[in-house]
Amino acid sequence: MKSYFLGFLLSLILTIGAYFAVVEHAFSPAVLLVLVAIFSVAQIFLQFVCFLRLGLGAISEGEKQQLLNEPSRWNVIFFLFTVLIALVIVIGSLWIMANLNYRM
Amino acid sequence: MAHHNEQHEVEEKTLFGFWLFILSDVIMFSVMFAAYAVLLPGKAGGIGAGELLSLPRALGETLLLLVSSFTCGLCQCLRQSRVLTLIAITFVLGALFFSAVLGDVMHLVQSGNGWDRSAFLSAYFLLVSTLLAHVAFGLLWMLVLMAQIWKKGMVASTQRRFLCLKMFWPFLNIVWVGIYSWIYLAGAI
Repeated sequence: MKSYFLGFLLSLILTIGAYFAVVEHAFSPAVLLVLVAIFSVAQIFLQFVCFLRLGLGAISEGEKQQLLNEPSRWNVIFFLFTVLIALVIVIGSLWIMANLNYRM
Repeated sequence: MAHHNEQHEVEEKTLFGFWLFILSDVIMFSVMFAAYAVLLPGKAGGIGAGELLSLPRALGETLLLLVSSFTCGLCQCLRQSRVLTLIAITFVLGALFFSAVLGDVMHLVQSGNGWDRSAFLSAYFLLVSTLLAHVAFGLLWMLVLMAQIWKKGMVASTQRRFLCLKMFWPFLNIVWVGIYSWIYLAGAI
């Protein structure tokens, strides 16, 4: 449960931190964009690990024994594969469309 | 004991299958994010995300959903009264989030910035309303599950449904983190 509370606290800090950095124009736009990108990716991975089934942070010891033998390796493998596909889709789309735009 | 192990296996298969469903949903949402990023410049003379969307409201909505995602998984045990209380709290916070975002979306439509205004707004509405549809089904799920737990108690079937809900709801929060960061915050920079 400790990682669960920690995940929540860090998510809260990342959410509010990114908000005030943008609202107060704390940095130049390029730096802000990188900051928001890093904060969002960090928070997404953090929540997958702490709230969802990668680290099993959301599942207590009692439940673990009751319902799961151990944190499944396959959960992690399928997750990493999904991340790969998502990156191919997003980066690939942007790349292809920017390239088409350039050639038009 | 043999029966218990069989039960155990079914639970694990269901939970793993639900995990795979969530991962396929990740791919669906990443396609929508890609479409949004590509269509971002297509404003057709309209105004962009920075002027259109309210950041303080987005922060409030994000915090509502984050807290509801936290309360949803806060069950260390599977005791009936505690599970019911936590689902009820999650439902209230989730319903507030839903009505707030729905209000924003309706406001955009009424002010003439609907999905038919530009390619950028089409992509925005597609992404946000797909998430809202997920949230609506999550809320319906909570209502039905609360009725079932109330009636049957925490038996194998309701436990399984509760554990799936505990994956589904935080996942929606993760998608919203993407929307909050990439549409609202990045749009305001």
